Amino acid sequence: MATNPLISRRGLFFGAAGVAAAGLLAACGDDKSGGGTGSSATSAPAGGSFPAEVAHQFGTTSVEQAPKSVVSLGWADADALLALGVIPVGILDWFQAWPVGVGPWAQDKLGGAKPTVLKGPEINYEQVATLRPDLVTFTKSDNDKAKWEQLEKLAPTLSGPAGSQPYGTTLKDQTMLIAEALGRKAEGEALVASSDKALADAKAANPGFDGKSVVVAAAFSGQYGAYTRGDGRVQFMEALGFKNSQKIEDLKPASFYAEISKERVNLLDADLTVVFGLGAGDVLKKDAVLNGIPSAKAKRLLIIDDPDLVNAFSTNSVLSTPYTIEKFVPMVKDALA
Amino acid sequence: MAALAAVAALSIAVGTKSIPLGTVLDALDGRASLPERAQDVQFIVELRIPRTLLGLVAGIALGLGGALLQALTRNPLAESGILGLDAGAAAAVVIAIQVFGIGSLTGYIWFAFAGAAGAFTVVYLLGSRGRSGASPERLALAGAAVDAALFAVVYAIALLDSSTFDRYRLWMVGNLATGDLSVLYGVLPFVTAGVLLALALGPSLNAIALGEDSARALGANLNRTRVLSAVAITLLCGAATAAVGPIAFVGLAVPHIARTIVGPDQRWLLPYSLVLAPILLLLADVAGRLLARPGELQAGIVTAFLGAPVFLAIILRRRIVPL
Repeated sequence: MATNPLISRRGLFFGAAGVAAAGLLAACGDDKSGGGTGSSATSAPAGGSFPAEVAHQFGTTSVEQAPKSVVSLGWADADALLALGVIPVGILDWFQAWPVGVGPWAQDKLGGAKPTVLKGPEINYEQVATLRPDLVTFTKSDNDKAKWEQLEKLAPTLSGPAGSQPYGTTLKDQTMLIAEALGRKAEGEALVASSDKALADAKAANPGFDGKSVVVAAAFSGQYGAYTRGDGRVQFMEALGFKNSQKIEDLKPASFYAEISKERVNLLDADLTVVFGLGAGDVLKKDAVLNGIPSAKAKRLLIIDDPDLVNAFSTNSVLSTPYTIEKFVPMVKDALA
Repeated sequence: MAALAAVAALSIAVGTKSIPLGTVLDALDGRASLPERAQDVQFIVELRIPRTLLGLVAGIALGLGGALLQALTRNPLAESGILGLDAGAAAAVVIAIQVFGIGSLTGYIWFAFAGAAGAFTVVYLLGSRGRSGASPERLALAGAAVDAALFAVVYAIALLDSSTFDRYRLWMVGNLATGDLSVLYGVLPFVTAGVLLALALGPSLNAIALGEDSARALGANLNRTRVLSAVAITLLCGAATAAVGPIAFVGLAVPHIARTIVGPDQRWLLPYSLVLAPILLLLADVAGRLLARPGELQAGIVTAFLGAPVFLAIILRRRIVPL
């Protein structure tokens, strides 16, 4: 054994649940443990205007008629599909935290259906092909064109919007791309509007959040990773009125987060510091160095140790957002009280 | 020794945050420093000193364990991976995460240790079946087989559960930054025992180096030496892997570097490896702190980058001293 796999950027990105290093291992064959039998067709309410044309970063996808068999591969694309009443035939499970492939905020929308759960994060194209999709959603991903091209051979495939950073597809873009592909733009707009309203209400109810600086960081492998603007978690905090810490933005990392060693822990200081770890809530609470920063001493350090909440907060989808508002906003309010 | 002391001092004085030397000295002699320096003192005491000590102990264990492995197997490319130690530790850690839901480094250490010891015991027993005892070739073969089998287990489990894989991957990159003193205290007795045993074996290993027939003619007790070497290797490599995860290259390269300095005599080679390895490991760790500010590169990544050119230079400058 000679090689040390490098720390996966994606692993950090997904925080609590983590995701395996890409490229280290080939996708495994059909597995028998996850998912159900998979219904043979997507169940979707009637309607939608076709043909639908959707522009995204790799071109334009045309959907000639209402898709009957949708496979959700992008991170939390299934949330947007379910919000629009479409049950995918297959869901790539990014977190592997739930046997049904979606988080507790989306599970009731399945209505007992059991889509085939594809083990993430590597795509098993063969398994996607056996589901015979007529639409593949891949709106929130690492933006790898080769993967999209491979999928496009199987079925019309959506990717993220032009100019999006890896995993940086916003709630609005994800919802709208998928709604347009289903020929139901107006419903997508209504969903985005209600999500915006929920966030605006939470912001209005908490004027104390407005203009406060925030740092959102994950703890891993003896150091921290602080997220920059464009990351879904930071997008959520900004929607509540927070500003991402300028100290973090000034680091100008190459990706959506900046690695910070324990000795530079003061970079995490802000009006509010939010930290979560790889199932390490207790460890973080006992971490003397982390608890030595000014915001911790002032009790404005918020450690999230509920994995479902970490995943909801990280997902930033049309369905996870209400869940995060309900569970997380009161915690933020207490921390700033 | 002086070089080692200098590197240890460097490891305490240098980090991702620039801390004035005066504060470093304050932290070392425990004087109550000014309040605005309290946090710097905390960094020295809570972060740098523990990781330096961990680097010292893990380095000593890796260097000495590597030298013993090469002497025992008479194989210049022997390292802890080749005899199943790393695979055993990795498999045990994966099982600890998956089956027992353990998520902390302190929780992994006993699993890693037991796994390394268990795997090496199996390798040793497989390799020493038959009349001639544990011959180098058979040990290497048995090690390769056990290594392959165990890593198959590791990847099978890891593939089925990505969150397990993720934790395993973080452990798999040897890292001093996560070190806390409880880990150090846990492995210290094993390393101490391993060091004493290894140093006592020097003369007998010299006899082994002559080849089996000559060693027997000299009246060396081959099997006893081999078994004791195997015990020392298990103590040292198992403890190092348990404490900081698998660190590549140090155990492989250091004995070669030592041989170019002192030649093949084990009585000199072992102590030199013991001193050189922590120097290499701590230098790698310090370099990792400086290369990626404000983040850090893990020592296990840096050892390969730092070690490879050094190793190549040695090989190119002079022939490797044969075993």
